[in-house]
Amino acid sequence: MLYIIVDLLSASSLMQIADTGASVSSRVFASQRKDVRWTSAAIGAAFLFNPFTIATCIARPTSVFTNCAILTAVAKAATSDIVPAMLALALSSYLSLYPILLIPPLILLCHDQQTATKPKTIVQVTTTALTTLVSALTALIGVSYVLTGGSWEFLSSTYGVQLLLPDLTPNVGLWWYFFIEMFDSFREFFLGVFWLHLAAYVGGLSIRLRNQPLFVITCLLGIFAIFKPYPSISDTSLFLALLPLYRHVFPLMRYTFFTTSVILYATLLGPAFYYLWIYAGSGNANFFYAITLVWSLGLSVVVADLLFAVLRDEWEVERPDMKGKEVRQI
Amino acid sequence: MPAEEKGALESSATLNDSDGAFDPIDGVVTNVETPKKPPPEPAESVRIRTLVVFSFWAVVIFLGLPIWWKTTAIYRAKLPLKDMMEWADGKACRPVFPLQISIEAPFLQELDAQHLLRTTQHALDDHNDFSAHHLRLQLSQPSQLVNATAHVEGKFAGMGVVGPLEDQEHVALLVRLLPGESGSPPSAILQSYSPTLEVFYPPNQIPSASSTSSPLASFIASKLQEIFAEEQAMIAYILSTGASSASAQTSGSSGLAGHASQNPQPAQTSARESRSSLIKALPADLQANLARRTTRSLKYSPTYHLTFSLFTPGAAPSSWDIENAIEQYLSPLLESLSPISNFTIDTQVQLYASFSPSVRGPEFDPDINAWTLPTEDLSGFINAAEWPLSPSIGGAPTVNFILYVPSADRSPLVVKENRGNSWLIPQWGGVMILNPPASDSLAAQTASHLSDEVLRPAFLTFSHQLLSLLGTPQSPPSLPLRLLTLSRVRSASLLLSASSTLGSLARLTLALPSISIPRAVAVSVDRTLSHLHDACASLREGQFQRALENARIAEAEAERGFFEKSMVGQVYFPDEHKVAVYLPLLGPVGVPLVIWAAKEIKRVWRIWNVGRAGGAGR
Amino acid sequence: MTILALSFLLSSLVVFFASFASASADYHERLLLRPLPPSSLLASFNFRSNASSSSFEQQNFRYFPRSLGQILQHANTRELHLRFSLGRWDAESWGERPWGGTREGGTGVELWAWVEAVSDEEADARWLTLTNALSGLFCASLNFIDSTRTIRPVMSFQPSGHHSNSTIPNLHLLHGALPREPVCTENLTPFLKLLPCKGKAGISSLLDGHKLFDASWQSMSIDVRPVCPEDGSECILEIDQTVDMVLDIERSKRHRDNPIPRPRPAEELICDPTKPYASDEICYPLDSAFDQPWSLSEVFGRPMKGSCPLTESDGEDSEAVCINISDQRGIYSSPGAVEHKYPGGFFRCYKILDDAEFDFVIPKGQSENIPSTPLDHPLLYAERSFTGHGQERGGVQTLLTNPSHDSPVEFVYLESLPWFMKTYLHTLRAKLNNADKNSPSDKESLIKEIYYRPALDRHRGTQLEIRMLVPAASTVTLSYDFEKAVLRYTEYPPDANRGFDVAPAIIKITTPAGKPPLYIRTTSLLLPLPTPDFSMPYNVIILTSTVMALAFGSIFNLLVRRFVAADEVGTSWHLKASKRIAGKIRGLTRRVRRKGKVETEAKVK
Repeated sequence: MLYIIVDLLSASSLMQIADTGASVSSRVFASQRKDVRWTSAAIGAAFLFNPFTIATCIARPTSVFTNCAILTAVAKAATSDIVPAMLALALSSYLSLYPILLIPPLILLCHDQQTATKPKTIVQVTTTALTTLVSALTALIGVSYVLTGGSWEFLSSTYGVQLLLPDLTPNVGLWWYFFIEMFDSFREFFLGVFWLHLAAYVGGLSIRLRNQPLFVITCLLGIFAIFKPYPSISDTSLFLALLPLYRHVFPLMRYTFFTTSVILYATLLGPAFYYLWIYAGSGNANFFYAITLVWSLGLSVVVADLLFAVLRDEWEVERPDMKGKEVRQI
Repeated sequence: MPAEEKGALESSATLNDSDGAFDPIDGVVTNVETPKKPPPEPAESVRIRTLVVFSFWAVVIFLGLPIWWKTTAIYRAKLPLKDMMEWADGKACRPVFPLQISIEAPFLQELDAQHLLRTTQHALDDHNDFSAHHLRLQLSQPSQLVNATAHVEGKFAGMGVVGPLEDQEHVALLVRLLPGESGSPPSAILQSYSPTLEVFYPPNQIPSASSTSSPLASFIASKLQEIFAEEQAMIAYILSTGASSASAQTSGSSGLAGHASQNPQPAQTSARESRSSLIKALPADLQANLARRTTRSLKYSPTYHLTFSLFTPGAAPSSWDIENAIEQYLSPLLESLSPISNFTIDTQVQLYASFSPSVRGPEFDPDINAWTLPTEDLSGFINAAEWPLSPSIGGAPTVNFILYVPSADRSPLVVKENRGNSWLIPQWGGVMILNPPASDSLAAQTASHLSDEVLRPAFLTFSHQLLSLLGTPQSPPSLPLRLLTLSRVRSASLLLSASSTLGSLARLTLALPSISIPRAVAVSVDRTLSHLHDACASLREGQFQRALENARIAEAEAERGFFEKSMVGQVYFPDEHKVAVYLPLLGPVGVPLVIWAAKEIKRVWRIWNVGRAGGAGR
Repeated sequence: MTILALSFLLSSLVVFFASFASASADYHERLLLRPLPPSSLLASFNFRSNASSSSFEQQNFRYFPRSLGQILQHANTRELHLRFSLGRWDAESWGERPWGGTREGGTGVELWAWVEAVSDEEADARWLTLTNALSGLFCASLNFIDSTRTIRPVMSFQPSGHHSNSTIPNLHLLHGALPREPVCTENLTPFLKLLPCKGKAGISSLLDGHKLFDASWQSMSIDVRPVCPEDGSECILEIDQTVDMVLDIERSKRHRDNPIPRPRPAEELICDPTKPYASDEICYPLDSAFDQPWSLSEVFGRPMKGSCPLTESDGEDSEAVCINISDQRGIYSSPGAVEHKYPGGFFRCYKILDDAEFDFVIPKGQSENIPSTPLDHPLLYAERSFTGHGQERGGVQTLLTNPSHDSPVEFVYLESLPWFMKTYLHTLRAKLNNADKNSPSDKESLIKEIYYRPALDRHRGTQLEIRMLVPAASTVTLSYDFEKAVLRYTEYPPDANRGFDVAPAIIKITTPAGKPPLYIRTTSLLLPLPTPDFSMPYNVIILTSTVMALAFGSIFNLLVRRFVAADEVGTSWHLKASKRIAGKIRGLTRRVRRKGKVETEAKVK
């Protein structure tokens, strides 16, 4: 019941985002296809009736709360009231650490979406946002410090688990098998590399897509769903929830059929192979590992393809005559 | 907005550069059929691309490199390799042993005493040919003589054996000149319980101030010589072996560590000269004798663990009066040994102790009507598999003393060749066969219980074995003298072993660049060096007790540094495997990064060139 | 029968207290034989020697083994309990355990000790030295008892020795178990070396590795504890060594001539004539040890070499061999041995000469009406097993049955689980199975107290102590679920697919005051874990890295590249190259054709 409520909350904030239309047009950028959209109701429904979302709701994980917090943060940012957005972001990153990487695009979003007659400068927005975020995080951690009876051990046993991956239980991600098989002397190094790989996209994306911070967020969420330490289908459902906002660039995507089929394939075969390995014992770990590879590959193709489409869209804004022509990248 | 303005400025700056930059593309385009060419790229996107590339690189450089460094670096503490090598080569310190010998002549006038002293000193220096070890005479005031001897007497009365080492540690020997009856040649008595030589001289032999030499002086000199002959020999032997081993190590190390140029020659020379100065001091047989003794004696340690075991093949005797025996026969000796080493004692009784199958076992010899053990069985006498003689836990080495009581039907049991009943196992301990006494009354009560008077001979044997296992010299009959000698010899050998350990540690660090050197090693090396310095200095001042202390600490520290566990903890991982681990991820990721970084740099370079050319043209 | 049982209880208590009596002699040993249904024989050896604490402090060891004593002093261990066990005690048919279970351990090796230390860290360090030294002494891999296998029980163990009040606050109880350790002959040899009489004389001369480890159940124990007599005389340090083994008489007798089991000829079969189908050719084999002939040398493979001369020369302690069998059963013992029958009719002991071989023969039962030795039933039966399937989750359930009809049993249930077995405490259930309805059946009334110490990954295991109660004549099912972790591939043992052993649960039954508590141990469990493919590290590295590199490369290129229309860029190099080649070919053919033309013109001329 609680989880259904949480999902409904996320859906509502998702619909807020959709209503702002930040995905297609903002103060600094407007797509040419801004009229091609789905209604917010449709988007919310697409989220709610997404099989991944339903499965997540049934499994009742805590990541649902993180997702809800992230969506709320995005919604608040899309309506450009900074403080609640940052509070929600603080909550989500307090829950599972990685959303902290969403700060830059969120700040940009807040900045772009403000409708006041004389908008604040980017500096003001950043300062307010950062102060709010830091104070909120310190408050949260301080509270938990008090609750755990005045010991900092909870840090190592909560965020340490996120950072150092002591738990190698199989999931849809790439980390677990890699670090099962990794040699001990290299473990720390590759943990660092994986985290950097996760963090490296933030700067590049938010610079290149300066004008569409909401899309940066979407793209980042997609990347997180693939490359975060303990990914699950709930992260995928979050990414897929934001996907319909970009209905207008779907025609520009190239590998739609391929990606959908790959993801379906992985979705169907993953549980089967997991069953074969763990319960039937007739297959070994490589079965499931291969499926996770396929799954990550498919998702990354989706992200890349969406990125391509959005870039193309932006480029066509720059050169309207190129609409519908074949393009190449140099 | 400042950002926009800056962008505008830059764009105006970069536009003319950019179309200059893209000339070659035009060239490429023109010679293809299609005349259409892409419009010049707007400066904004160029800037953005630069920023994107830069942002990725920033992550790599500012976060990636530190992580790589932090997670895969091996900590190597800085070691003073040069000093260590010098110590190992014996160049840092040349141990000298100046022995203070005080002469008391209560019945001589000051002048005569002085003169006698001088002449004796001359005689000594003439005879002495070993520079590192020389005797220095001094005249001491009768007052301190009195209380010193009083002290000696007191202690003597107190505890049977006296080692008054601490109160007069500077004075190695006390020569007391007492007038004997005239006419007779001078005679000397070495007190066996205190380092004191009493010389009885006929009054008429007092050298007159004019005479340069006197029979009395030469007599005293020769006496002293013979007293300290063995000590000289031992120290000379130790120094020579130490130097030669050091030279051998350095020559080996120069091959190992690959810096053949600097150290071998001096090392060789130092070793050579020291050895040459000693070989003439040591006759061959004496050297062999010393070698045998040093191989037999245990490695020095601040504490030894003595284990006395009673073994018997049957069920009896099952108890012995061990507390009293140790109290009476052993503890005085240990007491006087205490400034050199401490001892812990444990004892055990083991019944049903059978010989190992390798031993043929004793056979009966009718003509001496005793059971005899052939000598070749003595090596296998200790049944290591069956008898619980495991070394006791803890750092101290264990010295085993075994009292074997043969069963009634096998006694008396003696060694076949020399009829002896005790022998010494080098670096391990001693064995004594205790045959039950013949008299029936004693035998009756010996059967079950060994009283302390029965144990007496055994423990005297054990104490002698202990002394020789510790490496004490035999020659001067006075025990305190021997112990003083032992302390000097020990400090010398400790000095050398600590320095050679340092040398091998240095060579290890040079030879294996991939092992980690924790800070603890560096700390202990520093401690070792400082204590070695102190030891050397106090040797030079003739304070042998403090020298021993320092050398002991230095040795311990050196060992700890050398056997640091975490040095070998890190596993060796070959480089090609490292490539196989790194490359699959970092290669594909790195290539586009590098390519685009190169492109950007090229572009910036070209812009710069154009700008300069324009400046030149203008 | 009840009278017999009572009397037997009496007699066995006599033995019990004889062994626990304040040690008058410095050395004492006794072998107690007890036939067990259907055809087994319980032989429990007990050796006890002690040293005065002063001589122990001075390290003058006489009967106390020096090697062990030094280890204890080095590790500041005040009380030590070490167990090597093998097999399973069949409580249903064998009844109460010897020594009330106080002298036995779980399968494998079990060690617990009271270490004197001022802080927990110091205690851990000393525990480490203790385990390392003991592993060297007993040739067992005790040094594998690391922090993940060490627990500090709270309710399950109490020091059995007398400790002065000054030391009590500094005593730390540490407990470790190695269920995987195979107990074997190389553990027996050092065990015998600790005895004053080594296996050379006395009852220890009967101990033989082959027989001992061929037994269907065996347990070696070493207990060291300080004992201070009530009369205030000097305290002594007492070492108590015990070997309990259950031999199958048939099997151990067979071993002599033909080690290979063969079907016995028909005439040797003992048939049960009461069966309806019994006839000359149909035989229902009846195997009961009670009227079967056997002798010491047959069962143990060798006779006993006299008695150890260190024991008391008279009095009860001098009787080295005792047997629990009906007095009406005649026993032929070798000459010189003095038989002493105790009241109660089921207990007799033998005093043995020092230097004469001893053996006795129990002939075939003469008459049918000889009562068989009664067994007193244990207060509690315990069985533990895994539930669930698959390698992701599982459950543990323990059946605790209280056979008595009137009195409930209260006990402490101790589990020490490895860290990779992640228990869910909220799934802990205690269910009353065959309960009459009015009895309390909910968790609260059954479970009195719970001490739970959760596991830390790779640092320490789970420790679960439950003080609970089983009502009379009922069975309680204690169950909880757990999740199986996946380990790094370097953390798996060489035979990873065999599974991981889980230490037995220890049950301490709290008895009425005055009597020592009874102990029961369940069998150990085999836990299968999901295993990765051990041959794959480089493949995994390469594949995963490829996927990540693909994603990174595509996104990076999208970010840094620039869009242009397809017809704006110069055709790429391979098009150009193909064009050039095509042009060359065309030119070549043209030239050839021109040559042909020239020649034809020449002909024309």
